[in-house]
Amino acid sequence: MRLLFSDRLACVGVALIVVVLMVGLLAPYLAPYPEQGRGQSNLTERFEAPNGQHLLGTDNYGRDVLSRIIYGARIPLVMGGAVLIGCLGVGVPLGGVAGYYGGRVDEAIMRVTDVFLAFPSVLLAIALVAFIGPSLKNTAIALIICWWPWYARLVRGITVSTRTRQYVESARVSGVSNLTVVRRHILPATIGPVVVSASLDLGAVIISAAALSFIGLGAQPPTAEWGLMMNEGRPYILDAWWIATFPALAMFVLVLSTNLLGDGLRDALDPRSIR
Amino acid sequence: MSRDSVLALQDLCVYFPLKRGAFRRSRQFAYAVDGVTESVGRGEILALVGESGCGKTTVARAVLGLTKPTSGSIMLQGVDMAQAPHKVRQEAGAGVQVVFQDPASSLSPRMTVHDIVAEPARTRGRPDGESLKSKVLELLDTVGLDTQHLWRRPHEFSGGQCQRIAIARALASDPYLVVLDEPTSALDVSVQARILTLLSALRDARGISFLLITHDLAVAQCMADRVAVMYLGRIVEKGPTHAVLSNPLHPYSVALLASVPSPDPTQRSGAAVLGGEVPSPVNPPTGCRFHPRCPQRTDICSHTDVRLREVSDGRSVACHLAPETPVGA
Repeated sequence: MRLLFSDRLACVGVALIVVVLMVGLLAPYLAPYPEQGRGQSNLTERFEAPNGQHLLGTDNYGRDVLSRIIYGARIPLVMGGAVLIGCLGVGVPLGGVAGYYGGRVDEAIMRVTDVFLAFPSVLLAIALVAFIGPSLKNTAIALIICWWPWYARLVRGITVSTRTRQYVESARVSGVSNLTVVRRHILPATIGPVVVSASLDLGAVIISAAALSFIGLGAQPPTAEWGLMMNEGRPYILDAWWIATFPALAMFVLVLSTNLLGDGLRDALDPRSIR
Repeated sequence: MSRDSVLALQDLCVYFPLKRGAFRRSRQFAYAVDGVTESVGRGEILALVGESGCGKTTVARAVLGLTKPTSGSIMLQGVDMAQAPHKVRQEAGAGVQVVFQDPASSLSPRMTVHDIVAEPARTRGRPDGESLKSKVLELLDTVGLDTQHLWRRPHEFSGGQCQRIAIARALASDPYLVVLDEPTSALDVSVQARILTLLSALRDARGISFLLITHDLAVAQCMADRVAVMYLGRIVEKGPTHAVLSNPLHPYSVALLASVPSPDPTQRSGAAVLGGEVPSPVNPPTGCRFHPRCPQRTDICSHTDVRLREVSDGRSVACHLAPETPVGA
């Protein structure tokens, strides 16, 4: 932890993520036009360029873009968190079982992950959402289905290499039960790499979720979601550039800060820097 | 085989299948251990010696239950580890502990010394807290460490200290047999001597038996009561340490002894160092397994297999050419 905060870029990443979280939490108090943030249209003030009243302008329904961005800040981190937790929930146990028991169980689980990984993941997500119906919840489910095999593989690899370590073998010789060996010796070894991998993936998950919304397979209007807002602003990009540009910038800053955090965590958890 | 033996191996074989394809069943095996019969008595130290790849570590792993034997039996305190009920096996297995070669990898980098040493004791249902801590301190004291080391982690210790921690850990469940897998190979010579002295003292004080796996004949000489020399998965010669090392009967034992560097250049023996490589355990040679490298081979060696036979009291050798009664035995 101390190491993480001695890394300035990681601090910036953490700070920005905290800001986005706070903005999302306090959206009703921060947004200048909370009603419009929730989707109420205001047809008298359509396509207003950024000005004193609407700092980031208004969109095709006359809604304040700033308010919509503030409300939209609620979605990506929750989405990313939910997807990653889902992936860990599925991938870590499966990878652990495959790596620890080996043999046929291992073969079976790893071939399943191969099937998933052989598919282009965005295409698979699109197909899944199209099948189960577009909504934020279904986007999350589709992304979990596409993403868990990476974690299963990661955890399996670490488990296989840790299982044959002599300290694990001497624990087994001492009659420590399988469950305890996994809990006490193997899971702790996987935590570092899994946390790093998850924090680096957070940005990618956020972008994928926004991409699904952008093509209409995620959040549905009138939800304020950055990907969806970009799509809504797309037809007017030449006349009213602010509608699509500001959500995109918000997205950029958030993803950048998650990547900074991920890099920082990776450096901080590198065994060479602690032990 | 004495009735008091804590470990008895009867014709132990461990074969590893090779080239397991996705759909093909393997037909080829590496004969890592091929018919080893041996026993360790209470309070006895048996050294298994041989060059790398001869199967001595595989024997150790089979005894520890980390590798399943292909055939043959392992008896721990009279309990057949292949057939006895689970509970009985667990009870017998809990009294067997191990000290590995590399202390850096045999101690978990994430646990404190206290937790490492306490782990085996905890699985035997000892209470947590103070009594556990005093037990751990007592064990650390036995191996020459003290309270100030209790809450540190392995990376703060030297190799010799780590090995002491590993020994303390092995003692925590009050074992009757400790397998020492090259316990001193990773250590400096001066540290080696101290660890070996410690181990000998433990044997004398607690009556623990040791199965000592080593390639270092000097270690075997100063520790072991009996020595078994292994070559390509088989024991080729065994007997009391002094007898075997001072008057080896099998040509392989002779060569192994001759390969030990002598500190005195005028005492260098003229014995030829063995040529060639250890043959692959996948296709062991016919007849006597040592015949392709043996300086004294005759016709019979290449086509007739040879088994251990007793040549004098407590000494056995697997060689066609060994005399019935060894000179000077």
